[in-house]
Amino acid sequence: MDYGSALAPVYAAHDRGLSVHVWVDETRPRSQGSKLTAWELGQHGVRHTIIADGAGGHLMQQGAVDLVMVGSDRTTRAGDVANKIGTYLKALAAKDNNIPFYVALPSSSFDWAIRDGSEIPIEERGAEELKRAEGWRNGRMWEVSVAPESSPAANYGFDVTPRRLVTGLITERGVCKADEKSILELFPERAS
Amino acid sequence: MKVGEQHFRTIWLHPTNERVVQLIDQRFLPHRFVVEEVSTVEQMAETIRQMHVRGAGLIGASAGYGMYLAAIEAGRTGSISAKEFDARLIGAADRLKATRPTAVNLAWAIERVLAGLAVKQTLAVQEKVKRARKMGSRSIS
Repeated sequence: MDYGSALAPVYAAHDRGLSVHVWVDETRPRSQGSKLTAWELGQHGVRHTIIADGAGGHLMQQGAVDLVMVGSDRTTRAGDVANKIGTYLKALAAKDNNIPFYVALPSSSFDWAIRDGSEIPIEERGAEELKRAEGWRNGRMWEVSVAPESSPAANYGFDVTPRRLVTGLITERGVCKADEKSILELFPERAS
Repeated sequence: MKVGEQHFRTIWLHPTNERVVQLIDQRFLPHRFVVEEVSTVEQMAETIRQMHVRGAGLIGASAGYGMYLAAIEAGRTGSISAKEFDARLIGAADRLKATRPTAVNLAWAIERVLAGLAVKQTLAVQEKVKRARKMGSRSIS
């Protein structure tokens, strides 16, 4: 886990000399994309550009995206994928533009006990994550307000992408389609 | 992860103090490279909840190390019974599992440690702690 699972295939491609460019979603509200993913890619020497979370669909329409790759916090045995909030919308846009949509995950992220993604509990985090932002200035971290104090906020951490929108799953055992039969061919010990 | 030209682990056991786990506090990246020291399961739960660590794999590994800390701590309590030890570990497991409910990797890592330490199975406390030490030193990832 020294690399995130979603980036591992990117590094592998880059290290083998493929010219890779990554559009990095900002990933609000904690901005792990612009803070961490972009930084990690930079450290590794992979070309990348940070974009706002809503920009993906536009770039796909423009033909600027060959492949979408995301991680997963929980994947059902039938191939439904829970991942960071907004993933489902990327999958819809990819489907509409006929762009392959892959999920890279460690096999420990499979939940073998469930099939239907609607059974996955979706974490809701504190409203303050949305209404405040943190940033670096003059050598220290500052927190600022970015929303009306009186407005409520709902902070869903994850969403579920149904398997019909997923081209394939990339695991440490290989790549398979996002359906129970294909998954079990890679993980036969989980059959039954 | 790569920092400069050096390869860094994201979480590891303190080289000389078995009661301390060190991890990169990712909240401060990319501006500062901050190593956080975690010595209790409560502290590890906060670290996971407040997203000092992110990503399915690392969240799971952090929970595994949290269980390790709970085992080492329980083992330091003189004359603790195996039953008490198990109860402490199960309490730690529940606490850690509640931090990020969607991330199944977390529960997976915790269950692995519970099984590895023979929690709810007959085994001397010393033996359970010895197993925890072994798991911690070879890293749980």
